[in-house]
Amino acid sequence: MFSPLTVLIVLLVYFGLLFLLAQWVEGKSKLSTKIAGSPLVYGLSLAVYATSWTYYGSVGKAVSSGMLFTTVYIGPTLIIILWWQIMRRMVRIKNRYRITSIADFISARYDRSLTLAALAACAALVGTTPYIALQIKSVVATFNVIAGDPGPTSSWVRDQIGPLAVIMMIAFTIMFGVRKLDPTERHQGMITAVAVESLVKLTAFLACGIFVTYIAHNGVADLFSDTRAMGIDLDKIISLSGQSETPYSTWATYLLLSMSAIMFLPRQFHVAVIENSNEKHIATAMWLFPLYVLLITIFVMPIAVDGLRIGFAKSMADTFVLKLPMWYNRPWLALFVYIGGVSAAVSMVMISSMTLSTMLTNHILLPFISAVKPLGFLRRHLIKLKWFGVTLVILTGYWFDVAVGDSFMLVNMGMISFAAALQFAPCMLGGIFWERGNKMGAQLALMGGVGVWFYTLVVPAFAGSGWAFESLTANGPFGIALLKPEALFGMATMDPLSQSVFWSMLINIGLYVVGSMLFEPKATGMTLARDFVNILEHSGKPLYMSGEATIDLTSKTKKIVETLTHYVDSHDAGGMFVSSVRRVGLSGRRKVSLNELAELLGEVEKTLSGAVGAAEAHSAIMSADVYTDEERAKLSNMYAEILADLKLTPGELKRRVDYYKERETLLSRQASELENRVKARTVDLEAANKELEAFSYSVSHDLRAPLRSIDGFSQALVEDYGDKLDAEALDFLDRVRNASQRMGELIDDILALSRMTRMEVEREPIDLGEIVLEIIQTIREREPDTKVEIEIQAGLKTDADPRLAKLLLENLVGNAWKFSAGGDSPKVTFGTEEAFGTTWFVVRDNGAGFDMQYADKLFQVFCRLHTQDEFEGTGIGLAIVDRVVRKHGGDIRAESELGQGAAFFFTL
Amino acid sequence: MNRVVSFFKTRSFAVLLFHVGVLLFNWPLLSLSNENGETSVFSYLLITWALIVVVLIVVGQSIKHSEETDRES
Repeated sequence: MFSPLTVLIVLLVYFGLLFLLAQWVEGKSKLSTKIAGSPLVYGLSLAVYATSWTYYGSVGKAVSSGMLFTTVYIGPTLIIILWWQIMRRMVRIKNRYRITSIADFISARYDRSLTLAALAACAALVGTTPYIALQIKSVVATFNVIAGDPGPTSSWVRDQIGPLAVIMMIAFTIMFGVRKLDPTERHQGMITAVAVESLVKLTAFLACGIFVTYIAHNGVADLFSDTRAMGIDLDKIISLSGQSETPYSTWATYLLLSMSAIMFLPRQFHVAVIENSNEKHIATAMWLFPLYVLLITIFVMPIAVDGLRIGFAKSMADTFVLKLPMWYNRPWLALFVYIGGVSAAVSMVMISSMTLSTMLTNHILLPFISAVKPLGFLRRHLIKLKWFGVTLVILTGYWFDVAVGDSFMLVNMGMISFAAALQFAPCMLGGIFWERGNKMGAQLALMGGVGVWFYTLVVPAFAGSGWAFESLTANGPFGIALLKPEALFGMATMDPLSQSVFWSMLINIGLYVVGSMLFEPKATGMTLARDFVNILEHSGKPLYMSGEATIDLTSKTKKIVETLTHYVDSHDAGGMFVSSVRRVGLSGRRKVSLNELAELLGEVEKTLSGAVGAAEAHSAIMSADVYTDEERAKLSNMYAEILADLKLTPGELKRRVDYYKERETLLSRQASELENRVKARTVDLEAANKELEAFSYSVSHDLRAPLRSIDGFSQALVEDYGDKLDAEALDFLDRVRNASQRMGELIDDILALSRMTRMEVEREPIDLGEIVLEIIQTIREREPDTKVEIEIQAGLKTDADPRLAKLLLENLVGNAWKFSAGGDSPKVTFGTEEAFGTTWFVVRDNGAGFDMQYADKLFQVFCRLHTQDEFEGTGIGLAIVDRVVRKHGGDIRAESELGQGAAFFFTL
Repeated sequence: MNRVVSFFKTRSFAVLLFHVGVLLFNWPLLSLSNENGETSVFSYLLITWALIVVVLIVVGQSIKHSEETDRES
């Protein structure tokens, strides 16, 4: 009908378009975000449930078992009625605990058990991989139907369609779903693509059904009467049981299995829970999905009946939906139906392999890597591990398809897979509805249930396919007929599937209940259980984060202040309360939230503990009766929530709080010790400083007397015995006198410095210009021959200590005079200048200046930048200046250049 | 209107509808249509199923309506 290459190209174009759509959605434009976040996309994505097994297999099942195929869709329709109660809980739990897969959900509920996660992941892998094989098989088999006209050049495509399909599926899954690591495990692009695929497969199936029923015939009645006219007994086909006797137990089993499959098949859990972006979407999915499955089911029976009417072999009933358009010579309709079938297969493979790869990586590979230290480096390659997971899952599926071919097992894999998913049901439903359900119960249940499932369904399937366990299946282990897998404990009245479901559920539920009742859960497990079961009780936002200010602070104020007045007088109590309110930032507030009230009480307690001690303060606040009963209950819930969020046991929390309290006490003790030490050192230093000052003062003072004697007696010697001394002796005496006079000056300056250090600053408004004028006059009187031009800016008023200011200016102006006096047209100016963002007083001269590289030594005691021969001085003047400025809290700096004068900037 | 909405969105209604659905699609009610033969089981299943879908549309819309009302208030 079509050449294989044409079909391949059409498929590539179709998936290329889907990829572009996914890319566009991931681009997060306004429109794409709206579409991807739509409840319709969520509802349609759930239709990943309708795989190629149901797309093609429904007609096959209708031919062999009548209306039994409808149970696969009616089951989900029934259970979805309860989704607002069930699915909403799971979605909320997913959001709170950032669940990534069904195995992760089970593990999170049961005390984060790694064993359970690994066990669930293994069960999911074993149960789903052969199902993936079934999808690959359908793509390959139907390709051979649609591309039934191979040309010589395109036959290679037909021969290699299996590997090609596998490569395409791996590539699409990695490109759509595992391209990058997403901590939320949500893939909006992929889900939108799956939703479109769901629409395509529904439209294709409906197109085929409408064509067969209303174009090829004149409606259902016409089709049925035509069929009856052919001598076909329709009643045998269109009955509950079809042509083989199907007891009601099978019907009920199918219903039960499909009810659990729509929620607990790994891919269904992924699209329904993990990919849910808004819990309100569940309300839409509750009608959209049942409507979808009803529509995709309506034409199954007409297609099956028409296939039989035409005379297609019953064994080929799985391909009626594809063969009918071809028989009626509608190649494009057939191609459309084929694309619908491929969509069904590919969307199932993509979602399943993606979620299985997440489970494989997170719950099997990563724990293994953690256990084997040399493999630790692999943890850095998580995304590649996921790619490896996807490839491994799909390749295993393909290997399974190639290895088992048309075996019994593959044909039955759909229901075997559903039965595997059912094993999750007790743990999952118990986990969200029964607080008592615990880790031990869940572990026993899952192991027991999966064990029975394997023994009663997989072992016979192996035997049916002729690989192994044939004798075991036929005669039971060691010939014990009672243990035959298909009639366990002699249960031969039910069909093998029903008895497997019965026994596995009995064991599963029994072990879950008994295990949970017998073993006490850990505290962490109990907290998680409570949170899971009560997830709908409180709003999404934790109570302690709630900022609703509903509590009237005025009524609380009275009670709190009253309590405080038991310990302090009412005035102090009011002060304590107001300062506490200010510290927690509630000044001016009339209404507060519960959280704020609790903080305020904590602050009041701290303040009170400063007066009466922590224990008494705590007991006072506790007995203050500030909280109403309702507030107390809310507060208790708040603490429970915090505890749940912290993921700590109460014991662990207590230990940590004690640790921090102890640390705080130690730190505050250390701080007060340090403070005491600093105080003691300061007192010591002050005393030592005073002693030193007193010492230097007395030394300086006492040195003056002998100096005066040396100078006085030297002078007396010159005056009284000058004529008896030769010139050299007189010169020596002169030198002794000069040295003693200079030493006298030094001592005077040291005394001035010492006095100045002990002086307290007493600020008052003064005019610095006037002080400078006085100083200049004194200097001029002392040195009448020296001519220096003086320029003083008017109005140099400031607040400073007049004695210290005079000392400062005496030194600065004296220096300026001294260093400029020897030059041509010497000039000293005093005024203000703006620099470095502030106003400075500046004494500037045009004298000798100094080298700026020594500027940092300028204000050190006894440090001089000129020799005594060049300029007289003691090297103390600028040290005094520096201290005066510092005593005023001001700043001083100097600028100069050798021979170009100097400028001293200061603030007071 | 609000009374209708609150009736359909309640947990009790969901549980009731679920049990009614399970009854309708199981023995013995199912056997009645099966015994009538011909295509009655086909019609019975599809019509019952469609009715449940219709009720589900009402339930879904009621939940949506009440959620939106809650948000607005």
